Amino acid sequence: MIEYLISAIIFTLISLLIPPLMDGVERKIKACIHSRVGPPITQTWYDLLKLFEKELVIPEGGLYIIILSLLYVMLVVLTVVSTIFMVLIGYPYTLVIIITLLLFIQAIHTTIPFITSNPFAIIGASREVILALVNEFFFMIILGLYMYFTGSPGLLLGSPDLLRASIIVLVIALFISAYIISGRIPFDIAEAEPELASGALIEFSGPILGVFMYSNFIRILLTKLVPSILILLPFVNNWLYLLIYSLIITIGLWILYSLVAALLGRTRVDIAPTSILKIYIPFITVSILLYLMGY
Amino acid sequence: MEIISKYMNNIKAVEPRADIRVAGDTIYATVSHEKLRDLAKTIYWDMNCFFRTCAGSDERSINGFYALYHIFGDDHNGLNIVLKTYADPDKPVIPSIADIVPAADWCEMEAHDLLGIEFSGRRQYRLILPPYWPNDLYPLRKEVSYDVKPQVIVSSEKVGFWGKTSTGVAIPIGPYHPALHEPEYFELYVEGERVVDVRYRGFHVHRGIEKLGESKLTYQQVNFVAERICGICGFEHSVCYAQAIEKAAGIEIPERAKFIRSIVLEVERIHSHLLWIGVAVHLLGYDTGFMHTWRIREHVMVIAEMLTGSRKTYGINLIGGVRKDINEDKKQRVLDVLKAVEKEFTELVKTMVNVPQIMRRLKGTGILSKEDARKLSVVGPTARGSGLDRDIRRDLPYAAYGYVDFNVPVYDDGDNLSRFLVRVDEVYESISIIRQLLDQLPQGPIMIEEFDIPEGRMAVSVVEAPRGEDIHFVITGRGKPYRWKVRAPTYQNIPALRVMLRDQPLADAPLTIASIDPCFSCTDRVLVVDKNGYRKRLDQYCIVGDDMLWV
Amino acid sequence: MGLKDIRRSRLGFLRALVIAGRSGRVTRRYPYEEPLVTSDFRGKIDIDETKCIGCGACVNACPPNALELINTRDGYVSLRYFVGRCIFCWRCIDVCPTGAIKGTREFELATNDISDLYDIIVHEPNKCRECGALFSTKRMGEYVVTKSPLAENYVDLDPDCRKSRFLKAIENRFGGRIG
Repeated sequence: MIEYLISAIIFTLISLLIPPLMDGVERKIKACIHSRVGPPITQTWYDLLKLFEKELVIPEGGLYIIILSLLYVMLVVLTVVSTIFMVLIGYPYTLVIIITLLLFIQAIHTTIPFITSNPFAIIGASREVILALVNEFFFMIILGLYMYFTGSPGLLLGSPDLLRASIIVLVIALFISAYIISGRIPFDIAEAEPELASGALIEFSGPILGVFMYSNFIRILLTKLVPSILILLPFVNNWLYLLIYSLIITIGLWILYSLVAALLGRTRVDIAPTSILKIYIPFITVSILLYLMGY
Repeated sequence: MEIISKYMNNIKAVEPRADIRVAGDTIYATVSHEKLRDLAKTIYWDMNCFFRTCAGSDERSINGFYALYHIFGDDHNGLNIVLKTYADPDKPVIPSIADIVPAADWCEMEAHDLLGIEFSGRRQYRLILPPYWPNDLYPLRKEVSYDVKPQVIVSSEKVGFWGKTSTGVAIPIGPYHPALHEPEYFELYVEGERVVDVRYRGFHVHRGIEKLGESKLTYQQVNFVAERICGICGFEHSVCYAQAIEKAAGIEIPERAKFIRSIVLEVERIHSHLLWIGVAVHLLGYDTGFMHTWRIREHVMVIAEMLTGSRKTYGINLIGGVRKDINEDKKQRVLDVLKAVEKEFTELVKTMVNVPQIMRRLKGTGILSKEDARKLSVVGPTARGSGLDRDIRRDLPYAAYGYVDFNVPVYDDGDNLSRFLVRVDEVYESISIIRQLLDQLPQGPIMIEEFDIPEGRMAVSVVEAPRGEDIHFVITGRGKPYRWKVRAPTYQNIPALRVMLRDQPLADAPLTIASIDPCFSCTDRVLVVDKNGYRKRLDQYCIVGDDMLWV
Repeated sequence: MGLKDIRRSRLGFLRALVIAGRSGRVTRRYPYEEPLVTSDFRGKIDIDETKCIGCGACVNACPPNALELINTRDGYVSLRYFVGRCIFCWRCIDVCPTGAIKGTREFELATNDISDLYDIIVHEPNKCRECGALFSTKRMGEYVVTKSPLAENYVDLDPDCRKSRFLKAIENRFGGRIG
């Protein structure tokens, strides 16, 4: 029991510390592709801490923004904790709790800019809504299929290979959804700096921006961590190894994504949904086919 | 020259008493007020010339009047036509030609702002000076000193709606914006993501350079000020000014100096286009392309430093030639670096064109049709990207361009991709031109030591800057220019933005604005109002309740 | 070289990795490394006070008036060079008759104390042998004499005395009174 508690605390702390560090690694990789030196890996932590030292300027929309931002960060931390507990306890419906929490987080992330009355923020947030609608729709379909294929969100050993293959394909689609929702190029249209002067984030400054960005980073970690756990669930039954391996996969994915982001340009809000459709439909079709063949 | 006699006949047909003089490739005609509008119509529409600029001048100390010069250009035959008219010194009024020649709108308002010349038959408004400037202080008049600082109360201007023609939310782009490198103000009216209308207000960096050139500096010192009109294309301003004075005074500079000027002009063109390509892909989010393009540009800057002593604002141009020579080992180094630049640039363009988002967003956006481009008389790559075949290096050859062969890339689609490709092709052409020039470089002196600049001469000098044609008009005085007028290429291109931005998604607005390669430091003195080239009533664009006109 | 000449491929954008790998890191870790200036770079100027004659040719040529002739004390004329206004065009070097100005490649000129940016060369004035007024500089007089020995007769007279001497000479020659 006590070892559960200690490892839960350790993993929670790790999950709360490494996202800005990984963002620093991302910036470093981007700099290498740009042929320059770039900032040190701890730069994102420096930036966040510097933001907390600035004065608090309440944006238009007043106190609601602050309350919602605090709610955002609390929900994000709660989700991290729940994920770890899902692995430790393996209670059948924790996955549903995590999905709900992830959707709440997405909703708050999209809503906060709407409360300010800055036209840039509203345009940025509406772009985010379009992107999120398409993405979350497929996210729900994929997770629904996952839960249907696995029968229960528990461990799945000894199932036929084709069934496992279909689940792997589904989870890879989940990885891609993690890329799309993470706000990286080509999908950073909500915060497009040359077009919208920071778009959705324009009214934030100082500590509020620090809180918001920190929660964003943890959200990006979560969207990679949950699929990593799901993909390893059929293969690993020790909870400790499961957590460690999924963390390693998350870090590896983050590095791969930063490579891809440095090589592409920004898309446009009317092109993005069709691009997303073109990615998801093949994956879902292949997965369903594999499942039917495995029957 | 039969084309010149044709012009003389046409002018004399309208105004028999016109005083016509021909100097080199410029026809000067002094006309009366009554016939000015008919003559403008004849030259602009019937003889199919482009309008270059108009310059007002305070000549009360010479002949007791104010003067206004309208400068037209016939690129096809390589001529400039200058119409001069006088105005009464106590109450200067001149008929306006802005409804016949829409491109003349803003330079007339500049003369109105800076010299106090009234224009009859049009609505007048303040264009260049800020709204709180005192009403009867005209900076370009000779009695006003260049360093006068009037007592004013500074007031700010607000973002807002205007007229019933605009619906939609006002999105301010500028004066400070991450997409822009200089202060300018575009107000886009959007409905959702679609831009329905555009309003522009510029002149935040008006520095009074023309006044400075006329009061405090000597002839040779103005070269250095001209170079600082722009940070990216400064050298061509300095060449244009030096050529104008040399044309006016009849100075023939040595051949080697002409070659050196052309070589440095082409180096400047390469660096400017590489800079633009980097900025364009940066606006599309592809920072890798941006960084690598500028890394390649770094080699070009090192060439520039090697040839002239400075990475930018080269400072080698003087009236009568250049100050710094090219020796043989520099020649070889330049050729080696150019070869490396060409190879790396080709590879980079091949990579950039294969990034799916870049092609999707460049193709079919920001379209300027050929008819609109002709009506608005746009210049430079903006014109060549819309199918207009205009290049001053070929049409009115200056410096050493008569000795080299080069192609002028023209694309017909009129979208952002065409303008991108025009600039990519021009980089290769410039590299080829530099190679030819270095090959044919003649021996000899680089500077004329003794020359005389007599007073009272006029000249128009036109140079192809990286952004289009740049025009300098000078009247010589004693020891310093009497009147110096600069018209930069960007201001001729800005009205095209109104056409290009309409009905486009907001996401493409910064890229479209950047695709004309705006250089607002150059533009600071005049803006073109020319709304689509159609003759619209100017009061449609007034702010309700405010008597200033922004377009 | 047009769009049709470029081969379009789906994964062509991966070439950026090859380009990046080949060029490596190009950042110059200035100030811990040498900056990238060539030998032709134009930096600040250095005025040699043993050669300067205080003629003011550089003052006339300087576009931004970084070089000025000022009065430091009664009659003494000094050449003042203010780095803050200098545009590093080296026109002064072109026009200096004695070659007293040299160009350096220094550009790291920022400082907390603005008096670091002023170079002042004080010149001893020439003293008129008739009326004792101070004018021009002694060295300028010596320089003029080396170029044109005939000038020795009047180089140490101040302009007013020279004028009156000239007018007197004309009076003696043609008679009558002038002025």
